[in-house]
Amino acid sequence: MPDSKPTWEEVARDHGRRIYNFAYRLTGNPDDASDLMQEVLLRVRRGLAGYTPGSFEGWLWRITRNAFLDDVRRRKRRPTVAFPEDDRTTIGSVPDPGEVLAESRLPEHLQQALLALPFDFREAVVMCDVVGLTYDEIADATAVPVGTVRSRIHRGRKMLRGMLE
Amino acid sequence: MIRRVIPLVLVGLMSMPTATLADEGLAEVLESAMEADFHGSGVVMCTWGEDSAATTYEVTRSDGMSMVSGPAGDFVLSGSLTASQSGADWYALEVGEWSAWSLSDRYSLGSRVPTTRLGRPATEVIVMEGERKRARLVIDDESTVPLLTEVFNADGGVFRFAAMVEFVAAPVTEMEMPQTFMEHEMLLPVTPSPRLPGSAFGYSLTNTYAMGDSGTQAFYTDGLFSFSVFEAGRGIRPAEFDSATRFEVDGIAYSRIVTPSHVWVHWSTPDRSYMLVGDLPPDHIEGALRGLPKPGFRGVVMRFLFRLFG
Amino acid sequence: MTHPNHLLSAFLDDELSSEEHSMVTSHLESCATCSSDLAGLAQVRNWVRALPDQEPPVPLVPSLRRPPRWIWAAASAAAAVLAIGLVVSPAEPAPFDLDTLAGQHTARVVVVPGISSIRGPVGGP
Repeated sequence: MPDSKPTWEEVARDHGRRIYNFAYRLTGNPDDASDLMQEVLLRVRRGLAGYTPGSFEGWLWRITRNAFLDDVRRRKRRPTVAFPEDDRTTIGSVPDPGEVLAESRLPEHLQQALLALPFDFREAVVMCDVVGLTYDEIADATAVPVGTVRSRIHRGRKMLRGMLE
Repeated sequence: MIRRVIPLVLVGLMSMPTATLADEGLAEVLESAMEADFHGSGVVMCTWGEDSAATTYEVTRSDGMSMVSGPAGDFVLSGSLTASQSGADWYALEVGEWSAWSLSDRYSLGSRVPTTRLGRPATEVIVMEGERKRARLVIDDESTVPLLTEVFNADGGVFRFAAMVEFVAAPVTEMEMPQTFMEHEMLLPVTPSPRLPGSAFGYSLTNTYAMGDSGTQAFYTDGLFSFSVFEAGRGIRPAEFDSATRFEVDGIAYSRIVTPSHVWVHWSTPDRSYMLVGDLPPDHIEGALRGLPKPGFRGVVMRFLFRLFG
Repeated sequence: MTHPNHLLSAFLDDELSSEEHSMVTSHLESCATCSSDLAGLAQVRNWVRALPDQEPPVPLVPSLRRPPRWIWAAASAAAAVLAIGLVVSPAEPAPFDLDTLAGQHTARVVVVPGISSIRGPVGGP
């Protein structure tokens, strides 16, 4: 984690993809994800003026989730349950090559099941498994203790399992 | 597709055991209280010595957003953003960054007793600070929202009392955040003042933000109570303090104003003016003041004399 | 013996203390129920991790033609120290406006749990 302040172009280049995927998995549709990413990068741009070096990941993901929450409230709606075409295909990359999957196909309704989770659980699971943050980083970003992060991830996965079996 | 998912969600939710208070420590109690939806109206009162203030208020929380009505006006809260209305315009203040919350280990839960309040099953819990009883909460079992909060001062008297007089859990209310703001301010971290300590009386300096053009806000918390110390240039005292109560800590004089939710303490040093505002009890305020820059102009006089004579 | 079911996700993510980790490992050796739960959780975890990575739209750089309706609390260094000389300068014009201070304090209080956080910004000055 760099001690010096990054430029916002660096943030956009190095982290834009992860921000977009975080937004995509939280909202379920590309337009919302795209809007959210733009919003986050704008806030990062303004926020960098006052940023003091600390935990960059925590700072970035706090801005990201604030933007997401504000957006959901402003539009007064649930993230839509659009069914993206690509999730029906067989798996592309598996981030952890050491693990053996029991099945070779992703469940058809995985994205919808994610969207059916309570926000806190969905966010924790997405931050852990899509963005790849550690529990400490998630705790920092969501301003809750690590124990709460643990609980939310566990309960979120259990709920997903219940919905998809 | 959607129809198949939703019934499973409901089944999943209904078969999950609800956490009981017996499983939770104080940290879980405080966290849990932030989550449930409810609507309530209540009264809050604060007393320190002869100073006392009370007010009524109304709160609605739905789906993570809150609406609060009180003597300071109406507010809408969502995440880290607080919005208030003046005429037709909305003004927003957003906390851009804050440090993670943690609870001081000086607190623990004492006894837990089943009870009822407002006709609802509830649990009375005592918050202990070491050997001392510091607070009493009566927590609604269904929503885990505190229906009553009492904070005690050092001699066991009630410092603050807050109670719901009406309460509905999980109201069907749709709230909407305003779409545009006349002003949208962000609180972002700035370099802490070198004059303020990293901790005082068990409260940690958790964040420092800018106040106006040349002041700072130092936010201290122990996880249960909190206070901000605002530091500005010398000689600044708001008109409200003209008739404030004077009190002493170790023979040093301060001024205080008591409001229903907070105590305000004002003092000046030779170089700066200070305003402390928080919900902490009087013995904690006195302890914190001992750790903060001390008022007084003796330093000014001595420097002046020294400059004149040697 | 109680099953450490609530630790299984953290076990998968390698987020347990070494003590917890050994405890769960040895429990799993002899508990078919928990092993089966672990497999179920691992499967869900793998599914989410295998969600296809989406391409963000180009360009990433957002348009800057938004109307400037945002203002920011100014970042500040320490205020200048006024030397105490023979002539005393008048006080700085910046007052302590209690409404503003209350707003800044309460805004920060309510973002995390605490004894006043539920009630929110109730009392004014």
